[in-house]
Amino acid sequence: MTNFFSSLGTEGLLDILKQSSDATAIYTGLDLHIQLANSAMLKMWGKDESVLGKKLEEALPELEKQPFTDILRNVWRTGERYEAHNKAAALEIDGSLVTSYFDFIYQPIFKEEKIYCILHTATDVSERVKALELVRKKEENEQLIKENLKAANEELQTLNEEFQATNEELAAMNEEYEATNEQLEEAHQLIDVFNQQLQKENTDLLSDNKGFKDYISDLNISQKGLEQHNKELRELNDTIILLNTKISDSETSFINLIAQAPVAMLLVKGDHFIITMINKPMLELLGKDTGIIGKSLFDAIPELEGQQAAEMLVRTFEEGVAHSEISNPIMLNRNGNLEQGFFNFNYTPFIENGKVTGVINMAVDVSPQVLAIQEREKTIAEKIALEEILRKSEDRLQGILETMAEGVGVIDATGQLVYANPMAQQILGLTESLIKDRTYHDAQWQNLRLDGTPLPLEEHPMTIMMTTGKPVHDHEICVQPPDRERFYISINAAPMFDTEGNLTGGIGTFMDVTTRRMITQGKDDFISIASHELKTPVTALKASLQLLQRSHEKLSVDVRARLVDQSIKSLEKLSHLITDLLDTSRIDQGQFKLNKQPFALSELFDDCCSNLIQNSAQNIIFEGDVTLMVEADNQQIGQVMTNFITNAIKYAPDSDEIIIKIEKLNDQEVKITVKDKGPGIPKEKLIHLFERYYRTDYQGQKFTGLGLGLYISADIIKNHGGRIGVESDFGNGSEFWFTLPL
Amino acid sequence: MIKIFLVEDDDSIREVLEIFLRSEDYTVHSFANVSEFKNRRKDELPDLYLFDVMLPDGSGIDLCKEIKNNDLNEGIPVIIMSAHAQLTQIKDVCNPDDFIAKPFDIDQLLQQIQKMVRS
Repeated sequence: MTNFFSSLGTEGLLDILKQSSDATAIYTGLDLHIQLANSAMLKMWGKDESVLGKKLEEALPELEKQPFTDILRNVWRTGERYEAHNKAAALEIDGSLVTSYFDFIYQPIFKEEKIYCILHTATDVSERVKALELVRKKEENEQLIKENLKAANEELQTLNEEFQATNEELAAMNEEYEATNEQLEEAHQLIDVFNQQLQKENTDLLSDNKGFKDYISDLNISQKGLEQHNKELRELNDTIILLNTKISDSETSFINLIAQAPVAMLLVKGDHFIITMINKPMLELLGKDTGIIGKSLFDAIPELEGQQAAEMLVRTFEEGVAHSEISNPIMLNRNGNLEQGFFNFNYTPFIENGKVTGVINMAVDVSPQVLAIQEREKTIAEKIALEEILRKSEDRLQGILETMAEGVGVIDATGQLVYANPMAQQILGLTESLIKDRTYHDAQWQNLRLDGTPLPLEEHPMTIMMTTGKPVHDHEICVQPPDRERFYISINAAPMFDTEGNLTGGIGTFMDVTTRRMITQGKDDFISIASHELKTPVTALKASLQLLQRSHEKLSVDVRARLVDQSIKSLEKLSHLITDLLDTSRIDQGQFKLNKQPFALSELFDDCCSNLIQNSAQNIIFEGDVTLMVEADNQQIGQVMTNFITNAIKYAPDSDEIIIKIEKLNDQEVKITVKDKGPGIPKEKLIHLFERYYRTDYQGQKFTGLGLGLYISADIIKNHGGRIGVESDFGNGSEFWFTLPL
Repeated sequence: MIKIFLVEDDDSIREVLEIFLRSEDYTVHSFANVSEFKNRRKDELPDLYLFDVMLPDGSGIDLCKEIKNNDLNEGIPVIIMSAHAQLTQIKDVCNPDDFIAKPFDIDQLLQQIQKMVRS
């Protein structure tokens, strides 16, 4: 066999395959290259030989979305044969997609245990499938018909059963009717019998009637006799009733009295206090009905037990004396609620045959009145408490106002002052009554603007507040009283409104800010002076240098030298000014450091004053022990000395001599005084001399300098633990002095 | 020769101005304070007054007022010099012909003086 095939060769084998009427194809690789498709297979695919060598999916694009290629690949991968029967495949035949059914096998062919190709053999079984389909459909139809028949049968069966049941019911009813008929027949017969008996009795009655009539006429006769007796008896009875009425007349009027009384009334009798009589108002008052009549009072109204009203009732009964009580509180259970009411009670003993047999109680409900009174008392108490709180609050407010460091003034809607606290009086220097005589804008105040011009009414902070209705804060004005120096006040003004929002006045609080204003003023002045003082040497310096630059050649050597000298002088002046400014700044920051060393006072005078002595027209004389040793900052004390001496030269130019005196006050202290014989200083200015920014205008003259000298000196001496001061008799010179500890 | 009367209390400024103006061929009569100025020879009139404001015994503004109110000085311009910040406020008080703010440029000063004396 093997020999036969090998002798055929490949071509021969292929020819056999090609000519086989069984559709056969061979694919290789995962790409499923069509290596062979015989004419039967090509016919099945509806393709020609051009598909050979192509990939299966390219040759038969319609296979996409059908499972075959995936199955083939799976066979390639796994090497497992795949066989299927009656499988549908859609193939494009002559341009249209035709679904046919196939039995087919994908057979892997191995060579040396490795898959080599897939052999695909297929048979078109469409006809068979269609035949099978037909059979299946026919079977389904038959099944359907059978089911329909079965259902129809079941329905008929059901209907039949229903008819059967109805039939049975009708038969039963028929029997019932027949039985009823029989009963009717029997009743009919009984009625007949009764009828006959009735007819017979009727005949008997008719004959009896005659006998009765005879008997009645006999009775009429005897009745007349009885009526006569009766009349006699009634007359007797009337007489008795008349007598009776007379006897009970008094009792009836008592009952009527209780029943018709407009006040609540109650009669209890016996030591069990049985309710014997009670009128409607009392029933309403107690919240009970007539059912309580005949019961013991304390059974009917158990809540009464122990209450004052009940005790009074018992006492009235026991003592036989009337009691009454006004606005008596009593708890009564009405409609299930224990309620408090207030009543005016009146208890009267009920006396029969001279013995107390009960108590009459009258009650008037005064609850609304009592409640109203209580309410009023409560309101009054609350009002008193409120008034107390208000009084305390007022006291507190008064206390605050009186101890306040600020002046407080209150004005009414017209601007009239209605209140001024003690501080306001102190600041303004007026009594309260004087203040209250004025409006806030009274001309007597002499209010001024900060620049000293008169303050127009519309600029007054109180006016601003009253016209705008808005508060004003820290508004500063000046006041010029007629008898003393002007002062400055800062005003806060706030409007006051009533509950309707109408402006009723305002509150002004103010404080004396004269000191603050003075400091500000001093500061402003100082800045102005400082800038002026700084500009003066700068002007000279600038002009000198510009001149040198501009016309150097034109100027003589001598003139140039003078200009250079001027420049240096101006620079030194500037430098001094700047040192002074820096010193004050250091004082402010507490950075003025001491460099203490022991030295003799003569040294100090040599260092600082020799230059001044040389350049001054005045005679400077030393008095006292100049050899005295002190321990201090030589330079700083020198600064103080220089300041004192230059001040003396500057402010007392006409003093022919300046005396420097050294006094040892005791073992601890030495005093150095610089005395001039100038015009002196007015007393009121003396206290300000050592203040910062203070510079006196001396006899209306203005002097150069920053005015910081004495301020700096005071700080230096203070730092040394010494004292500084000035004595001056206006017109007789001044003595500036300081002390140093030894 | 154009004649300038200068009142200035600061020695340095006064000296520098004297040197400068003389170097520009002006005749300068300078005074250190109000009393010196008032003691000047009254028969002599300058072509220009140059006043500092802050003087030890008075004010250049008062001097300006006096000059402006004196018919003898009619037509003689007054220039006010000052290191004060509110220089222009002086205008309302004494109505000078010009102002010079200290510190000044000497060129500027010269121009202002030339303008005054020319007109």
